[in-house]
Amino acid sequence: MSVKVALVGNVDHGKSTVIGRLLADTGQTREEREARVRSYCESANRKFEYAFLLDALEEEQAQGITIDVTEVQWRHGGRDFLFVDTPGHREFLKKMVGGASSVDAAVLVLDAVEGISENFRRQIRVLELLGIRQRIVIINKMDLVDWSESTWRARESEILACLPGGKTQTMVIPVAAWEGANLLERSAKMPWYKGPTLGEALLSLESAPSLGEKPLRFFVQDIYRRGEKRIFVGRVEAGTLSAGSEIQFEPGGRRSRVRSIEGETGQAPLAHAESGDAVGLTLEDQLFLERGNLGFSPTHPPRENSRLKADLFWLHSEPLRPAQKLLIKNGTQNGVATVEAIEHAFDADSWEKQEGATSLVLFGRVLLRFEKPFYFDFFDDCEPLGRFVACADGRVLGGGRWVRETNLSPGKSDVSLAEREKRARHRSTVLWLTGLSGSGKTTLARNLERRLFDRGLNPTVLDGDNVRQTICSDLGFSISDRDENLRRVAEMARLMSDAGLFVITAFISPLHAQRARAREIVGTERFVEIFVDCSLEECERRDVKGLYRRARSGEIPEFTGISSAFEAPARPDVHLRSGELSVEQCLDRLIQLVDARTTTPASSGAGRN
Amino acid sequence: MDSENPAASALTAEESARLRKLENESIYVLREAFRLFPGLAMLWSMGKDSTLMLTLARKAFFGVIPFPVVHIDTSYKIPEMIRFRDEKAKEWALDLRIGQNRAALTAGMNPEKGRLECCTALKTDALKSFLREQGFRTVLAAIRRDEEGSRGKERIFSPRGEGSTWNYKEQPPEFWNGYQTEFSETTEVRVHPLLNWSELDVWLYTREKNIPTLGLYYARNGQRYRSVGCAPCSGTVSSKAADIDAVIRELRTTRTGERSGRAQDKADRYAMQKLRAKGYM
Repeated sequence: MSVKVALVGNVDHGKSTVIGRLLADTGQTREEREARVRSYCESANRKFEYAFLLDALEEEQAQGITIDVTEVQWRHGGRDFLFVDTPGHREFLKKMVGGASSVDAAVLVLDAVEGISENFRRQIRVLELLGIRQRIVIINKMDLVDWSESTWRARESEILACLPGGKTQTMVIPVAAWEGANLLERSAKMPWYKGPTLGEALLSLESAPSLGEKPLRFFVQDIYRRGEKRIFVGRVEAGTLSAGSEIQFEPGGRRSRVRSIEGETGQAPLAHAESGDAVGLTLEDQLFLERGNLGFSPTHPPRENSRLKADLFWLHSEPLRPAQKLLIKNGTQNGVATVEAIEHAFDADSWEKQEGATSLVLFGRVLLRFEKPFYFDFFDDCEPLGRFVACADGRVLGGGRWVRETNLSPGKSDVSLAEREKRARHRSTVLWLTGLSGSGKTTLARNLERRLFDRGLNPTVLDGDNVRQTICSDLGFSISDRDENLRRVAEMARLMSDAGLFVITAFISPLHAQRARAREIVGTERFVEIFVDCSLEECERRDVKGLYRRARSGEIPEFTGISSAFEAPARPDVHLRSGELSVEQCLDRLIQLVDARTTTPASSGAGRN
Repeated sequence: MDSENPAASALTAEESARLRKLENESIYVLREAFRLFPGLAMLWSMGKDSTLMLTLARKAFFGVIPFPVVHIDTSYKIPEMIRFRDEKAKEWALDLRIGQNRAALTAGMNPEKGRLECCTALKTDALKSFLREQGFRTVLAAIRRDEEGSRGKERIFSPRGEGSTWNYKEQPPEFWNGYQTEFSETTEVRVHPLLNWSELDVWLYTREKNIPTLGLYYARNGQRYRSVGCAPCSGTVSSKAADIDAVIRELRTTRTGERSGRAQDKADRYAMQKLRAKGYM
């Protein structure tokens, strides 16, 4: 499927030029549009502006800036891309947030001459808060710095220092967009650059995962009568639907079975419908349903609550304040809610998190109280029901995601996180190692612990050995006990990290949902998912503890990889192919990551080249 | 070569997934518009885009389009289009309403008076007064982002200001299928169910579903229409594409713009933005 990519960066750093040039180089612009831009540029005595292929409004061309978001299709290497060109001007930051809110990836464009500005940092933060984790950075206008490798390196380290995850998850590409250098063709002027071109980097992006495996969610949009039939139309938000499926609707708890999924007039009904399909259902029983009712399989119900916490972005020029009423929309479900409290907000200038802020300008966490229960899922369980659009006075003013409630509000400490991080000399971090039994998690964790300790940090490792015999000694190995074990590990990791320790955990943690919950508990900013990836064959061949042999003989039931699934992370922060790399190579990559999160050099350089 | 190339006659997996997504998005939007906006009408020009939209509406509402279909007749339409309109309106049992700016025509408005002036009087003004007269507050229009620069900036649910003006600098954000659909009683809204389709998508879907099209789109004597409108302002492009397969093959490689034959676009560099700010589709 297609990949939706936002172009983000300061005004004038060349976002529209990048897209214009990609379109032109692949013959995807229209001749007369190109001719018109050419004749205009010639008459205005300026070089050809690729950006004008996109910035179509008169004001945009006159001022040389992008005012409104433009969406442009681009086909390359057999894949579809949808570029979202966002305005870079500070005045239009809210338009950038709106445009970037639904993308799969971002390309950050940085001017090699100007380097990082406050506005650019703000945009990086926006991507982080929107949860956009696939990123490509291009250092543009390399022609203006004489194709200098040292300038590129300087910009690269500047930018990596302010990106979470640093080098391990971000490609940084030197380009000259106007000339097309390193966009699709490798530039001979930068022979020192060995990494991917922008075109190659774009092809490595992943599109949004399919929602077919998720539980069924179907919102009733309308009810049509056609002859004797009552047809319930709506969209399958997630999961799949078949004739004969049992379906329950909330509110009201009424159940029936799907009699048919209506086809086109005069044609046979459909056997199945998938997520994204706008369908019409008939049911076996006469149910009274209304627009906004939510249909689901009785075995996988959604959640419902009247008080919900959300991470919110706010696009209105007036800040959001407590007691404000909002209309919360998800699918066709509408709910009226009041902002009961603002838990924290990010200051629009410093981007510091402010606990107990009295207003929310752009990003923050709020507690909403609904007039009636609202039906939802958490984002990691089912994306489409995990998010919402917020309206007031009939206008769409923001959006957000539901946040898992951590019931006990931890007692407030007088020592702030920033103070702790300063003393600990690293950003609070939990390295969460996941992988099959025998893939090398514990070995890596223990070796890394030694290295970090030698550099003067305070690392600690949580693994099966120390947890199972202590705080989790009451747990067995049933599915639910394994799940609880991981929940406690995440909570402990969070507390230890709060205390300033650099935490490394080594647990198989086989399921997406388990890792997503751990991320939720620990906090996205400090959680780094590391996939220690070694093939089952290799792990089984190593079989250090003899567990695979026992699992094969049936002695250990539900053993991950043998008789129980391992859901490989789709987008880990770091992907370590431990079957192919040596322990030293793996450690080097982890050390790079630690470096990016360390605020001051942790050692005098021992062991570094 | 074409018979060897599966892409010439069959859809690639990527295309087929894309068409499915587009079709479902459009149907969802059509149903939202019908449910949430009383006084809804659909604009039909008999061109490939609005005929596709009409077909999707027949699918969305299970054979019966539950609102009127409006054609703004400038009196300069190509005769084949009028024949097509009357034939299909009957076949599909459409509630067809035809609007015209008779006053302007009587006063002698024609393209000679200036293309932007003519378009504004016979299309935009005719549309605005007809909608007012008939009490339609919301219209479905089959514009697409890739047709033309200012349409690239559009929204699916696009509110108009006083006198149908388009305030392109202050548009509501649209994300996560959460459209802004609450507007004041007096706000006119344009709904664009096909906004995300490309010209190629329209033709691929038209072929897949065997949707009827005007013969004008197919080459005769080395010329065909890429986009049809009024006879004086619709030009042809040189082409050998005499059937739909050939049109699709041509579109996969051509770099000539869809509206290159449209004279009104060329009257001014920002002609479309200016026309559209006043209420043109």
